[in-house]
Amino acid sequence: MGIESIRAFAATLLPCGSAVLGLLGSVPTAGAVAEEDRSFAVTEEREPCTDFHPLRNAYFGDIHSHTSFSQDASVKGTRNEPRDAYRFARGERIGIQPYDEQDVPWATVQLERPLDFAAVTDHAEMLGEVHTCLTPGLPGHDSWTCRMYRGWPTLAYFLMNARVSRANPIRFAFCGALGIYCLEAAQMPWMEIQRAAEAAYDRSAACRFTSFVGYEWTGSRSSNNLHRNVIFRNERTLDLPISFYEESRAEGLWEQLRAQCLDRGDGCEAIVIPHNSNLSSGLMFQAKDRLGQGYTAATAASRSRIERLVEIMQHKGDSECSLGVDSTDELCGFEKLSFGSLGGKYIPFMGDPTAPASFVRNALKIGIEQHAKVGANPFKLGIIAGTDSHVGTPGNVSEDRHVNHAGRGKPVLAKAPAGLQDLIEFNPGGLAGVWAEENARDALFAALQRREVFGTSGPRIPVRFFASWKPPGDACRSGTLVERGYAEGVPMGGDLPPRPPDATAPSFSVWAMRDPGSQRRPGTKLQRLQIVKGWVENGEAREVVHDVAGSSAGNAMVDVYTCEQYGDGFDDLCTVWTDPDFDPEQHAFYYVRVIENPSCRWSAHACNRLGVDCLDRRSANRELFGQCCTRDRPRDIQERAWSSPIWYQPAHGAP
Amino acid sequence: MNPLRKPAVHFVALGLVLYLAKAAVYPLESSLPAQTVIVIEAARVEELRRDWLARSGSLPSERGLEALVRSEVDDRLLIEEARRRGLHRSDPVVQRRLLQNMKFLGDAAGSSAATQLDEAHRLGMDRSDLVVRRRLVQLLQLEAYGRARVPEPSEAELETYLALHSDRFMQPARLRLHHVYFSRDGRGAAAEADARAALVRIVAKANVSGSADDEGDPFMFPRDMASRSERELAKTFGAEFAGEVFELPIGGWSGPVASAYGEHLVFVHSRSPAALPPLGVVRREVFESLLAERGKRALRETLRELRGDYTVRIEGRAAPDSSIQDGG
Repeated sequence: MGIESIRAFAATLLPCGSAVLGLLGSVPTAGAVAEEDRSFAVTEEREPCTDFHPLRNAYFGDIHSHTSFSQDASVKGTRNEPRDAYRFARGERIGIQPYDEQDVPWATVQLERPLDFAAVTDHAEMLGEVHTCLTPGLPGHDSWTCRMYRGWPTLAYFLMNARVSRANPIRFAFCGALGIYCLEAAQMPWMEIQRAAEAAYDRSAACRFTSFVGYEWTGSRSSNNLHRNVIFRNERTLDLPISFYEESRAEGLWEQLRAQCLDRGDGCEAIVIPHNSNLSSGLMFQAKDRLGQGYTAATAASRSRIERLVEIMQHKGDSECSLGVDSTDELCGFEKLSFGSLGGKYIPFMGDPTAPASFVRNALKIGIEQHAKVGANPFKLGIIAGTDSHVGTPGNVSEDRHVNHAGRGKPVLAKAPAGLQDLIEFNPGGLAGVWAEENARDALFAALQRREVFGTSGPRIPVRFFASWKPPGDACRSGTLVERGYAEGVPMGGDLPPRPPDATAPSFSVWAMRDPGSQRRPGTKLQRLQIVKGWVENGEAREVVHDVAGSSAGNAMVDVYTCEQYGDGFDDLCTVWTDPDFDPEQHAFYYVRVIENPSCRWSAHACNRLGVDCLDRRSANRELFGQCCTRDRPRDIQERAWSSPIWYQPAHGAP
Repeated sequence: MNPLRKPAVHFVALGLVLYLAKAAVYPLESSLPAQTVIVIEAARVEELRRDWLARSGSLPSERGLEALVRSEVDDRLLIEEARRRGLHRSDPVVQRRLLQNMKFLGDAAGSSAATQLDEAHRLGMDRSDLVVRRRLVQLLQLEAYGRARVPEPSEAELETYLALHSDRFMQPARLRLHHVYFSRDGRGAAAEADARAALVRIVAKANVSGSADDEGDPFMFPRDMASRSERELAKTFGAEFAGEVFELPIGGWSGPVASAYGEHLVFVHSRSPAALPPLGVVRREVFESLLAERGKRALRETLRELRGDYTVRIEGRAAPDSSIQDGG
């Protein structure tokens, strides 16, 4: 008996039948948009969006944030729940800890500009587990639920599926009849997370906000961070998140996601996004699996099918590249941590902050190396950024209003009362940018999957990037760059098609505009556009960074005491560029980096507010003065955006 | 294949019997002895004070301290109730945490998981561990939310909720506009004068949207913006521009209007007013939002009931009942 027939059988037997049928065969709403204009499949019931644009809009969001449902947030006093995080993302004002009389929070926070989309990604480890069922000797192991779970996983699966109810009233009757399924304690947090996402998701044509259901798989190895976020396409998700306890290896996570979601046949889809490779001592992108096995074509392809993206920057630092770690690129010196693993923060010499495979740019090179070796690229990664907020404030990236991400932790404040709100090495984090036709789950998820996404260190910088064999000529001046980009080439995240015989080198077109800013603060002007190229030559990984537009010797600067900005910059930078060293026999990747003029780092804003004057030792207590006036941490930064790469691969295999 | 194959029917029926039998054989955990007195020790009150000092930089006011104590009482009530229901033994996350702690202590190696758990309980670890405590509070909170889902809201309730929260569900006013951009980067201070000159040429041709096709500079987003709300326009052009274009006359060229990037001539085709959508369109959002509100009420109700079930004693302070009101 196949799974389909079990479902059909159950549908007739149980009162939740129609709910299950609804789950399996949701009928997409036919919208005003013709099917052929859509680049994505519609898998859910909703109105089509009024802002539909076939050449795609830029949406900004944050798909990495935590709430009180994560134990590391909860024990630090975070009270905001997933619902509050989504309210915040939609632009509402919420409180953050600590709370005082009548539960009034110490501070309230609000986004100046709401996000377009967000996901709460609490650590799976407090969301409930099937652990009891699988560990003999524990109370509950021999319960009926567990016996069924072990003996009849398929049917148990169906029952759980029916139970994970979202706004479908009929299923409550089912819960009533066999209440255990709805009330079993371990299930409740995960259900609440899904309901919170539903409550925040605008299914009307206004499409103001898209929520995604997600969670974080908190895998690590001797304190080296291997954490990954799992993001689901629609309301069809897992019965329970697969946590580090069920699957301690990333390979196991992918396998189980395939078995329990992707191959389920009901439209469940998920992608996996690693983050903080900077804290992995090179383990995140090493060219072998946890058991020491090298990649094969099959395992490499299978990794890149499910790990489509990487989070390049967030609260705990930047992971793009590191000056001196297989790179001479000075702009890599941005939001770097001095430690290389989670434990390295507390224990000196633990973890290696200079391991090449800790950084995304190197991972992309290793991917090409692996392709040459085994015939497939395991690290074909699109790029986003996020916050990793632990107080339930996704997208709270403003430098001048930074209020820390892990709660006003006692240790920090014990050192510096009313001082800096966060460790000096941390930062407010970044955002994910997505090019999609409309602001709805299907459109955004399809963009995540095809990697037509970019990351920013906070500002909302829209950046376009296309590659084509046909020179687009004066596309910048004629304003046809986007139309021609799609019609004749591939956008960011894609592969150049095979080289036509009459073409010598591909043309790359890049267009970025500065963040228009908010009512309170205009966006910072752009300084320049860069194209970063990586390849492998004679067995050696190589890279080069080209300035392709704007000015590298700009006169722009910021006064770190007033945070006023001076000098020239650009609203809008556009160029068509050809690689002068293009070699048709060389497998390579190209991605864009957009660099803003200098602006104040969050710590400069905070130190100025606290009246710290680095020329006057008496202007602050010792700790605060030390934090504010250290030479190890610059007071100004150049915020930036990173596009996903475009890959070129020679027609006849690897070089 | 006939989906009503007998083994499966039997399976579910048998499962039901087993489940009911289990319920009969193992009586509900509520028969466990409950701790009916909750004591907040003077030392704990002092700890709350110091905690506040460390976090906020100043000592709490008298009223503030009362609120901190009240919040502590709430947590303790939920924890005791969770324990009364046996969740400190049955919840897998609690079990996992206790086993982790035991492993950390290192002297439980070799013994079975169940023995280690017993030992953890004997050591009082389930009462002292912060993660276990937060987990137990969370479980009871979520249980209250779950209870609030029954009975399911009626159509009338949903309609009322939508009407009461019209500001949240209101579909924004929208404009359909056509615009031409004059770049500040490219033209500098002349951008505005250039735009004015172009406006004269355009209107002289014909005051229709198409007559501006050969004017202005390239812009990354379309010249023709079909149906955009103020917020959507602000995302692309900046807040000032978005506010201003909603004041422009309909059916003709006007401007220049300044954006974050330069000057724009704008032709507004149409403007649709803000409107409250029918329930059908926003049903799921309304449904879940209403149940969330109910959940918060149910949690307050739970706490009120628990206060009746337990005697709360706060050492070194006046009886709390007068000061502990329902907040939240």
